[in-house]
Amino acid sequence: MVMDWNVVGIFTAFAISGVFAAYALKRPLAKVFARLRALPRLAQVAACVCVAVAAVEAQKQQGSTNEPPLNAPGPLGGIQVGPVLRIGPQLRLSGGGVATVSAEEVACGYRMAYETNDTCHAYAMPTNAAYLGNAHIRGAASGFGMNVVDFGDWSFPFGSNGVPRSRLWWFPDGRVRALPHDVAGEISAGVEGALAVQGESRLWWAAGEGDCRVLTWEGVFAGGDTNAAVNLQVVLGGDGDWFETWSNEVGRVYARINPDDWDGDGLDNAIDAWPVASDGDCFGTGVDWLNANCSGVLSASADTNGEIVVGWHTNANANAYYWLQFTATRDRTRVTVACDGPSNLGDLVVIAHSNQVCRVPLLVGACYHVQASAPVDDVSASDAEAQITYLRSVGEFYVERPIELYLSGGGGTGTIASAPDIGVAIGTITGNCCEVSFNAGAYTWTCCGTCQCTGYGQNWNVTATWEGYSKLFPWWAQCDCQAANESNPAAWVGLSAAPVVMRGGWLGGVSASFNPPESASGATASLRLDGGGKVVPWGMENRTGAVSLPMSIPPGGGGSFWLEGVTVSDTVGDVRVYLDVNVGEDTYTLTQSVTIACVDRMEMTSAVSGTSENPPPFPGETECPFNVTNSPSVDKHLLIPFCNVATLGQNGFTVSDFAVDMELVLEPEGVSASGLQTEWEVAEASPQMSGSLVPLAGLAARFVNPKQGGFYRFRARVNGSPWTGGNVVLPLCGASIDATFDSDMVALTTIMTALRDNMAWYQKQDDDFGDLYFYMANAMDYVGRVDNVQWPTVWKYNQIEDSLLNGYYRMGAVAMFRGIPTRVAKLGNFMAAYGTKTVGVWEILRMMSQWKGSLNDTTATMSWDAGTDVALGSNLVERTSALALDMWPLADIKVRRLWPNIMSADNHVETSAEFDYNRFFASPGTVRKSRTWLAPAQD
Amino acid sequence: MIVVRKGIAALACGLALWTCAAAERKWPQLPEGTLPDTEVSTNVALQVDTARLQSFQLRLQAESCASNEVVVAVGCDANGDGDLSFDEAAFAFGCDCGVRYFANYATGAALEGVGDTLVVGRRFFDPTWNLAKVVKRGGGAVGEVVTETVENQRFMLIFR
Repeated sequence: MVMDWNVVGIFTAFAISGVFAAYALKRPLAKVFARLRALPRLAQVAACVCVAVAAVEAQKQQGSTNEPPLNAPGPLGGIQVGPVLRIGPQLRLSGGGVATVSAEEVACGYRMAYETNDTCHAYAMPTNAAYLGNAHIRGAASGFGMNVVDFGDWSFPFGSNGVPRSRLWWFPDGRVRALPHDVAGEISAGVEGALAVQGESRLWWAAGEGDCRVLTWEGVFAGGDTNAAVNLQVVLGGDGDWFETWSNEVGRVYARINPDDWDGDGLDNAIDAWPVASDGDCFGTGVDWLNANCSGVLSASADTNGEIVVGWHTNANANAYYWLQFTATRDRTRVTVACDGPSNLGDLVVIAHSNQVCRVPLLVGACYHVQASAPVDDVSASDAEAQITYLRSVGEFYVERPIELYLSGGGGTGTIASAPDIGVAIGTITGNCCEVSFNAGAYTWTCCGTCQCTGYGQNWNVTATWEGYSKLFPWWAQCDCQAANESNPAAWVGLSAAPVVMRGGWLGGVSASFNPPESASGATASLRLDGGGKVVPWGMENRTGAVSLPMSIPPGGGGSFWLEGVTVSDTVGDVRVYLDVNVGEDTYTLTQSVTIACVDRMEMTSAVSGTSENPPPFPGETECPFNVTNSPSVDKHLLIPFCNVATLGQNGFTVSDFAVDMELVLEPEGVSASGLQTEWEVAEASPQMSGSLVPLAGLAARFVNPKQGGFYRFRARVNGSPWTGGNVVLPLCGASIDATFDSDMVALTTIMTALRDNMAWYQKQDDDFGDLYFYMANAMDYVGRVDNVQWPTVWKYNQIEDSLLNGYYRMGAVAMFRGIPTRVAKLGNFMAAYGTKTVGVWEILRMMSQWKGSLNDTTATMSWDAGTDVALGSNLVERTSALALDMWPLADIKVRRLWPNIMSADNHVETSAEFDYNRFFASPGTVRKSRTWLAPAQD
Repeated sequence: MIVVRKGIAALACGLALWTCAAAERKWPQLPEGTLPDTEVSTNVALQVDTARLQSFQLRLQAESCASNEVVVAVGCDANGDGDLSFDEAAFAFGCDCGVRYFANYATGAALEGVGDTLVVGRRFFDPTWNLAKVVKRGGGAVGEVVTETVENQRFMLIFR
């Protein structure tokens, strides 16, 4: 044993160092752990986590974690695999024979056909050739680089699916691929380890004889032998059927595998039980082809002369088949014969040699779409009725032998038939009344008691089936329900009449039809009326044409007339129309009831309406006009007080949305309005329209969201009946008095100033002085009604008191003042306060003067104080504007119900004489006097 | 910094990518080409931290002539033999007799007349790519060495 003293020394040194280190760290470590134990549990856990994380991070920094490097090779090494060959379930790879094509060959898309020693091949680069790459300049061994050969508009069908490729990838060793990594379809010249020598080897391509392209690796070293150069050549066939490869003196011919027929036995892979084994010569439509393709309906054999003998199966109807014949013009011509629906014969595929005559069975009544990969000649059908329709493409056409399908029999039973007779059966029947049962080619139609078919013809949709094929055809049928209806005239006749006819409105139509069955040819029908004097029949809708009742209705025809309502029905449906049907000794009567109605009234309501002096409803068939001056007997109307919808703020009034509901009520009571046409319209809107009229369903309408005062008159009618009107009144107050008031204040100031300056102080305190200038003869009262002819106030709601008994003679008008409806008496109160203060009446006397006339209410006190303020220097407009704003919320209903009027008053008169106080208004007497005094003297 | 020097006269290409490693190593000298095809090649391992990779840039600095070619192929050494075969390569970026090109071996797309820098975005960089192969044809000096230096955050591969 050899002792390694170096190892011993290192171990000893580590041991001694460890002892000293443990001794030195004993006390510090003990303190650390003691402090850790003293920490709360949460802090201990956090510390442990920190230590663990730090340890892991430290390992990561040293690259020693267990995680694999991110750039480690993946399972496939980053290389994408090519498409995988998918073999259908019908593929049988082993069995009772030998496969003639392998799965690998199918995947490649080609297989070697034979080898040849043909040496007649040239490797020298022709003049029309082109270099591929720069191998002849700098040499090459591996395929790294951009090694592409581009054939331009020429392509080669590559791989198992024959995808046309005009660009291929080449390798220095004689290989060609469709894509760089497409190994499955690789074409190889069969020489491994070929090298292109710098300055010597040449790789070129050129167009060869026929539709082919020649690729040649000229003068390359192969298999590591650098002593003798060889030539490699690949010839690609443009039709894609086959290609060749060559290597020096040895050649191999490779044939392209048909993607639809791998084994080339003429059977499409889809119908070939063993598609990788050529187990029979199925080119054309010989015995094998027939048995392979048409075994569902026939069996074929060859007689002693080699002629094909066809035996139809017992479940097949030979009459249902005929033969299509054609001749292929090119080898391996592929012809598909596709039926427009499933059948026992199915779709067919034929692959034929050039000039091979093919005969294909087809099914009568079906339409076949025939497509050939190359033109076919001598197309004909064994049935002279068959129709061949050629399409644009040569070798593409439709073949169909039409068939006529129909049902025979009557309403009870029948059968399906065809011409020619090929044994069709019924598949389905739809569109029938009652119950139809069928079995094979026969059907039975059983009528039921509730049948509504009325015994007349119906359109059926019938599916006919034969040889596994189905076809839909229409049919017209008549069932036995007709017989059942012979004793039920209700099924023969029809009677209709307008259920409601409006008095004075449109005429109501009456019509009847009479269609008895043929077996009831003796039946008669007539139309009659029991109007009770409430209606007048007319032949025409415009109230012309005499009508003779009862009216005879011809069989198979109809009759009609019109009804004019002249008297309202006492009860609903008291006018009747009868259709009498006589069948032998029996009589059947069909009745329709008619009601003659009128509009009884118009109801009008609103959630914000006030107390109208003449409220709704409005009488029916009456226009109901509204006149603002009719007072105190006011016209009918719905009242909407302004205060019910208005809110006063510092910026003026805000009017909320509201609606007025209107509805016509018909007479007699209980009559239905269904189907009646109601017209609504705005008959009048004064001074102008605001809001909108919205007709509702039935007999109702709604007037929504007017924002302006006035009156609105609506009217409506039903089915042309006379109009019925109704009024909605949003009463306007009197027009604005601002201009008159401001002018009057100028005059008042003038006279009050003159009195103040020219009369002794004691004279101003005299009671007579006060009566003369501030009380008697409406000295401080506006009298009459403030108005505007275009925007008139409603007299009824802006009434002028004309009775001397109550002390308010010709006063009480409400007018717009500073934008607010205001009782004009408050302006007189304002003037009295202003005048007495300006003249210099003692305060005690001023206070006592207010006891004259009407007692002061709150607004009177407010206007008195405002007049005093202005006399003491306040701004007139500002103070009176504030006064109007403050008084409206405290005003009585007469003021608050009136809607604002935006116009200025146009009916002010300057006279003290008697005048029409309802139509005009005048300023206070003292003001009028002042104007007389101040007017220039007239000579 | 990774610097890979290789015996290809008058041609140089650079490969730059982001990483966080820190190391330096020298590669064995390239063998002299012994066959008349003039083709020599070497493989350089890619150590790419794909989690931190922003982009993969391959810069080809070529003093090319009409008789040489240099091509860099990148891919995954699936069989682990240390040599990137053609079927393992994902793409090639090169300059053939003065014409720069890019060939995508996965799709077959090829493009001539490209610039001197190829940028592979983070999304398109396959984490399995672990090998770059440099192929030279058409002469040049031999016996150069390959030196690989990796800096924090960034390194550059330069083939000369």
